[in-house]
Amino acid sequence: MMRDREPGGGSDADQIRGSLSDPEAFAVLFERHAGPVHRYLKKRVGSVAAEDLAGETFATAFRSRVNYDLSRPDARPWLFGIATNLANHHWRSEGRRRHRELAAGVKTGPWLDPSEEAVSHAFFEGHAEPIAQALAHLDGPHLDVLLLVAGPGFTYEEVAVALDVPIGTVRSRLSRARHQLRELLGTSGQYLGEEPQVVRHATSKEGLQ
Amino acid sequence: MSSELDLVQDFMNVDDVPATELVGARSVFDEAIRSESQPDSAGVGAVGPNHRPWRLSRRRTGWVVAALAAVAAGALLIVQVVPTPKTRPPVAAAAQISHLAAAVQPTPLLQAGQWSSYQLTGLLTASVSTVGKTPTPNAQASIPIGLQVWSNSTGTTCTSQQFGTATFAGPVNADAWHALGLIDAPTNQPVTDCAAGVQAAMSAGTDLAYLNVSKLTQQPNLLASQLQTGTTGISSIDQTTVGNPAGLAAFLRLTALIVGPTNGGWPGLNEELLQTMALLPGVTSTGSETAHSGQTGMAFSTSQRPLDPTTGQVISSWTPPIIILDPTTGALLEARNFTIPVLPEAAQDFVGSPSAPVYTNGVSYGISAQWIDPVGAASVIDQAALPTWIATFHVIEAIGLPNVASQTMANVFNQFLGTGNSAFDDWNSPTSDQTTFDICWPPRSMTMTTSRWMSMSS
Repeated sequence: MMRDREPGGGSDADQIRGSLSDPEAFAVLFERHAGPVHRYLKKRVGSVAAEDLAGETFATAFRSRVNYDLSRPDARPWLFGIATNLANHHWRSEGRRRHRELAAGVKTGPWLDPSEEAVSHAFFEGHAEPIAQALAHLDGPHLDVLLLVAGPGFTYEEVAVALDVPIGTVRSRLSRARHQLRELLGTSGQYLGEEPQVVRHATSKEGLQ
Repeated sequence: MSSELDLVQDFMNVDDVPATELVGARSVFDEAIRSESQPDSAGVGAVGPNHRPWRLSRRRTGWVVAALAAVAAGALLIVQVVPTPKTRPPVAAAAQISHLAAAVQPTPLLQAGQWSSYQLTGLLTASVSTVGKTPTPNAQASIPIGLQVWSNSTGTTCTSQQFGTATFAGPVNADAWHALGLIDAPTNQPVTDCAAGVQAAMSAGTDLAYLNVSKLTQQPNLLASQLQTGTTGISSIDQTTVGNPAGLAAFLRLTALIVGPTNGGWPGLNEELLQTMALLPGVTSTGSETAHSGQTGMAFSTSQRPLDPTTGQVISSWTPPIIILDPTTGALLEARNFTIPVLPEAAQDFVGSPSAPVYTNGVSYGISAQWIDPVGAASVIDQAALPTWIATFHVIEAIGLPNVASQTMANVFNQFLGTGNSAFDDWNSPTSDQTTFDICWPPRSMTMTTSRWMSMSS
């Protein structure tokens, strides 16, 4: 499906191709997609970090544009894939930083567990919305798929491209994520607060859950 | 009530982003463009010495300043994680590697009906770090592995992986392993599977035991930079070693590429990988080593060491990775002590039952290679020599007018193929005036298609 091409004239791929000889041409991608990418990151890492990571998303994309598959006119899956990787790395870095602080006796936040999943969990739990508190209990790979479908509205195929996983994996992860959410939200649509059956681990493997 | 997906959509899309919030993002992006426009730039797509994969943001820089004041170890960490791509391997090591690269024979191009067959054997370490939220540091086992990969020129790749019985360094390890519901003798062996077309191109080692290298750069200088910054585009390579010093991370990533198995390669891939190794900082020659196969070769490692995330200190007890190469042909004889990215689902074969704690509570675990040896060189075989479990099939690609539906295509092609004898899939078009359909015959899966324009990298 072709996407809105404004601003700029050509497709994303056209702009990337042009940027190989004229780097400034890549700026059109920022103008087209920075808003949605920032909004997505804001929900994943918070307002302050989102601004940095949005810029880093486009900087990373720019530096690696030589590897972009120019036969794909829509660069959004590529960009959101980079944004997702950066968001996940952000929580890994936060976990390591908290780990160092705890080791040094420096306590700057309310979280005693410095692991990546714990700080990400705490971020979502900090939202008022019940759905955010339920999202806190999804593990990383399932959360990535769910938020790419719900946020930018990607198709299975686009999520597969963004995350570099097979389409079947996208389908199964989305199905499991929705199932977990239904269990967490219960019939009233509100988070019930029970301990979830599936324990989150960013590095856990689907086959073991 | 709204569905759970509606609720997530509302949560994700409730806010608009004011233009003012993009000012900082734009400055970060503009900086990237400016840096490439500098006169001393290394060229399009090149990653200069000051580029890091996870550049410290302005906000995070503040945290670093605080850490510097509070924790000296933190300062050590920050200083040491900065890549030093200007540092090249010692001349002797670089010259030796370059000499070996020149000796590498190109991989023959596969003709229609031909397949490449590649086999590895080795010993893995499986370590379960946590189950639920409980640390399990003793749950470690050594696991023998045999891995065979067949691939053809269209990107279809089939794998067979066979794990052996787990062994343990001591009773405490065995007890910890068994307490988690893990067993010694794996089930369902061997594990076999195939992927074709886009599925093969996009798997990139996530489901099947291989790495897709079709989008890897063919420029050693650029690849050396990408390996240091974790931007090769192969996610399982890029992400598995983030956090290590750049030269070490690059060496580990390159080791994984050299070991493979890979698909989507080209005749000069192995030579390029060695040329790249000669460019990596910290690579050292460690003399002569004998592989488990009994062959003796030239060994190379890296002088760089990982840092303890809690102290920032170098981990002295760490065992460095080693690559042993045939002194005559440059072929890989053995790789030791590296994180193997191609077996992400391996541990599930050791789960005893659905009631096992690792199954019910979730688990974090890692797989690394103690050593991996190729069993001979990759060979070219005819399709008739494939194992019988590999079912070959045909994929026909049809390009039609825009908005042509799968059912319309089915109505046309089923006249020739017969209803139920074909499977269709349509994808976003390469251009706005086309719709592409892939017709599998005999039917296999709706995800089978070509990789012509579905693969990408980031």
